[in-house]
Amino acid sequence: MLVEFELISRAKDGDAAAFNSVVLAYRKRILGTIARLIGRPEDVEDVGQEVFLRLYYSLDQLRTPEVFEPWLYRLTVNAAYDYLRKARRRYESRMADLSEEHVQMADAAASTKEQKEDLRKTGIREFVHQLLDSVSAEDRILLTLKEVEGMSLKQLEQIYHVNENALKVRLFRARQRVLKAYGAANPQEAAALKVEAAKG
Amino acid sequence: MSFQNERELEGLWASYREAVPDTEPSPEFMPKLWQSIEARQRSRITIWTKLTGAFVSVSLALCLVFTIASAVEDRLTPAHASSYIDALSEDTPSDTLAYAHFQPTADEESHK
Repeated sequence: MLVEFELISRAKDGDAAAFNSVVLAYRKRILGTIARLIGRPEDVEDVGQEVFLRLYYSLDQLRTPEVFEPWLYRLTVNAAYDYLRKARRRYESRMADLSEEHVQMADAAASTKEQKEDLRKTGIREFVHQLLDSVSAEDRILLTLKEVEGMSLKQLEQIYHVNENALKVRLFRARQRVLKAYGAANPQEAAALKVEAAKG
Repeated sequence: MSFQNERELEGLWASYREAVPDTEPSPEFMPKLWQSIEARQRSRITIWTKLTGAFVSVSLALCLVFTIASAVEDRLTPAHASSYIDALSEDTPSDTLAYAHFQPTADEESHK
């Protein structure tokens, strides 16, 4: 927990200053999770605003401060899911616009070590987003929480309100779908990124 | 091949986590959030005010309609002009009243 239970209780009782402190403590972490879940940096803050707005209006329904973090992550997952459903079509068309020529030009322009590192990270981001775009929003979120955020099955159980076995089945299926997409990815691009990822 | 892909994918997740670190929110994050909260509170109050206004208007209109309807009905029904006792005595024959011992019958008068 990033804050004391007492602060959450005060925020729950309508203390605006306490709510402000809770948001200040969690916003960076939540924005990071949203960034990895949705993959669109320009929309991260908007989704984050929606998460904390929902938190403000639902905090009075929180049973105990002990379950605050799973509660907040549940709100985050729901907001990210809503965003992904709405933005999917727009996102697909933008991904299609990313031509190989653009990538080659950026590669040629990158001269310093920092620029090359940035380019390597951009390549990884784009490749992972491409992989995650090939599966459903539900699979994407579940896999990101487990594999990227490093959440345990116990934490996921609290967020999803389903038992461990059901989660294992869902995770297994989601992994299989991503593996299939990984195997089918552009061999040249995938090979280059695999080497880069191994270096990282 | 599949096992190899699984291992590569695990490495890729870790690289992705590193490539997308937690980012600092912009300075406008908190002011914007409070603006959104206040805007929603205002819209909730506006909706409540509108609903209350509509309820009062409908109630007043119904009161007016019932008052007018009641006044019109009073005018059209003359029976309402007389009192309950008047209406009862008009409708009740005298022998019924005698049976109810409200007044003596002719036999009772002769016995006396």
